[in-house]
Amino acid sequence: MFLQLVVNGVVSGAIYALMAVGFALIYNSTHIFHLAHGAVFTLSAYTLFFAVKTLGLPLGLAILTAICLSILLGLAIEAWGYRPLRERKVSLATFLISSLGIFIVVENGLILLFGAIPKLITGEPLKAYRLGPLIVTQLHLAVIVCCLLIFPSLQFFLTRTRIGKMVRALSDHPELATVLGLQTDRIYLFITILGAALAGVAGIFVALDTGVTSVMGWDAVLVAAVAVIIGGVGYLPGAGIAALMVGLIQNLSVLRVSAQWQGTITFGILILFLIIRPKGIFGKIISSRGA
Amino acid sequence: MKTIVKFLICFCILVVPCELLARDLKIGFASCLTGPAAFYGAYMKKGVDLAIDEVNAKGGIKGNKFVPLWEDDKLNPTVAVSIIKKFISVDKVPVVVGSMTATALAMVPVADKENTVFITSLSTHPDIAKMSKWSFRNCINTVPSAMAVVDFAYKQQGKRKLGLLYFQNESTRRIAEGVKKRFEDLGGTVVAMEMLPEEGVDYRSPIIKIKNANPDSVYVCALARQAGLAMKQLVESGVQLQFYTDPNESPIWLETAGSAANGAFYGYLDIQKSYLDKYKAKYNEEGEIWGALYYDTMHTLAIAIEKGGYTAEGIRKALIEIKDYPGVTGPITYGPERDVVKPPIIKMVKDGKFVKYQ
Repeated sequence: MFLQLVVNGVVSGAIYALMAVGFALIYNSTHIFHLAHGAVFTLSAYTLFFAVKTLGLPLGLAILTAICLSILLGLAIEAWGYRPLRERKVSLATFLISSLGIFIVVENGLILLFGAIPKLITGEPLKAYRLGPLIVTQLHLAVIVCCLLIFPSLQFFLTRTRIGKMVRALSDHPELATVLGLQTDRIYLFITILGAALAGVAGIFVALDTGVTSVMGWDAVLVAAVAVIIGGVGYLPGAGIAALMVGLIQNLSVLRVSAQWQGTITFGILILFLIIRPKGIFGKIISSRGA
Repeated sequence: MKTIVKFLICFCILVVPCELLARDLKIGFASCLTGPAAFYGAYMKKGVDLAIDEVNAKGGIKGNKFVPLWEDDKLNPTVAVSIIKKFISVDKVPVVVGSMTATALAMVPVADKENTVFITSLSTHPDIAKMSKWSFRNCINTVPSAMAVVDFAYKQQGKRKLGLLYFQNESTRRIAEGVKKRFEDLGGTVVAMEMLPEEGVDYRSPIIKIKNANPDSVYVCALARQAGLAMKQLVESGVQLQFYTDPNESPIWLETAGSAANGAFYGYLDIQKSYLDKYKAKYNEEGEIWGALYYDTMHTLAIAIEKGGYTAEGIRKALIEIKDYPGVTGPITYGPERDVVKPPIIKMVKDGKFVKYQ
């Protein structure tokens, strides 16, 4: 049972990590508490549903469509939601309210289009494989494989490519990056594309596993935000590792308490960190960079 | 001057009686149109709309037609209270139709204070109708229904070790407690009892604990969609046992669970085919119990308004007097308890279809 809970925790954590790293990418460089990240996640799920069930597209094409539309929404939010505010040099609280407003509009827009009843893409139990005492579904294997491809690629991109280094430069010190002549607007667009794509992938996995609801984005973005704070703001891998930790703790906690406390436990961990170690798990790494 | 006086007299003679003659019969509906039980809100609306269309098509009640006022309480008690207050003070309705227990429990005290009839067909809390002389209920009695299933599981299917999964909700939690007590009173053992969180849709952790306790059957006390998700994830986690559940005969259950629901037993009511045909013709989907219950409730309300008038007290008295109204979900008598009693039957899912257990 313990091993199965660990596996389940890793899978949950991997999906949280996709959301968290996307959120962190945007938050670290813009300092915008990007609640609309949840809207991108939800839109991806609905697009997949629409593409598969209504348009009858093959799954591969539907997935591509969902990711493309997520990126488009992310870009729209950056271009029309955040950039005008950035040009006017508004406070971070204004960005937060703007982001929340976008989230609510997109969520309710989807309800208007699709209705409030949850939608299913796969209405059948997923195929499961036995690995010794463990049972893993096809989808869960896909999540693990995807994350094992995505995260190292992202790490390589951010450390070894020119644009990746510019993204990190902007995250570390936006003012200095501008002084050095980096085209910050273009880099923000690039960050947006990456972040939205990650949210899109997360939305696709959840949609295939448990279906699509208009309220799914809120839970997802909250866990992402918690993971970013616990991991330590400013250190990207920290968000991913913290998300994995949250997934594991949520699943393993049922050994001791009822499943109803999972949400409470997530926020309990956040509060604990804010009191004991507000810089997050990897806070030392961020301070040692001098950023 | 004379022209104006003539015009005013004509106006009074012609227009005012027309206004008095054709009254809008406004009824307030507070439903969970969005939120975790949005599918119940949708079923409720479909059943209500079907009944209202029928009544209005026949000319309404003494020439007056039903005008439904819908509000979304999101299954949130605070929102529900604002909604019922608005219905009573702004729209001045004599009757408010509610939905599930969570919001009904909050609305009944308001209805009681404001002397307004409150009626629901989605709340299964045992005390809903007892809370106020203004509160009525026409619903499946889910606890007796669950008892019937538990008896069936123990006595006819020989199950002795039950795994119990229950959704974190007022009514399902109570049903689960009833199921546990009944099964243990009969002599069985509830080997594991785990809660499904209200937020989120990943039930694998509580499912693992159920699996680990080695039951010979699993009872899922949950709303239709959550029950479907639970059964799907049970099967994905390798739990291939006999499933029992609450009266979840709704399309969303099968859409969510797929073949995982095959063979599951549940307590239910017999719904007349004539209603299911009408429903299918109007909505192009299979009818289900909650819409059918609200359909009956609306027709009994129509009878009550006809007999007692469009006033709260008139409706209240007339509803109590209704005896053996031939509803599509069985005969309806509110009685002085204001609570309709419906004996359950056992049904099952066979090859993706809901059938009576023979």
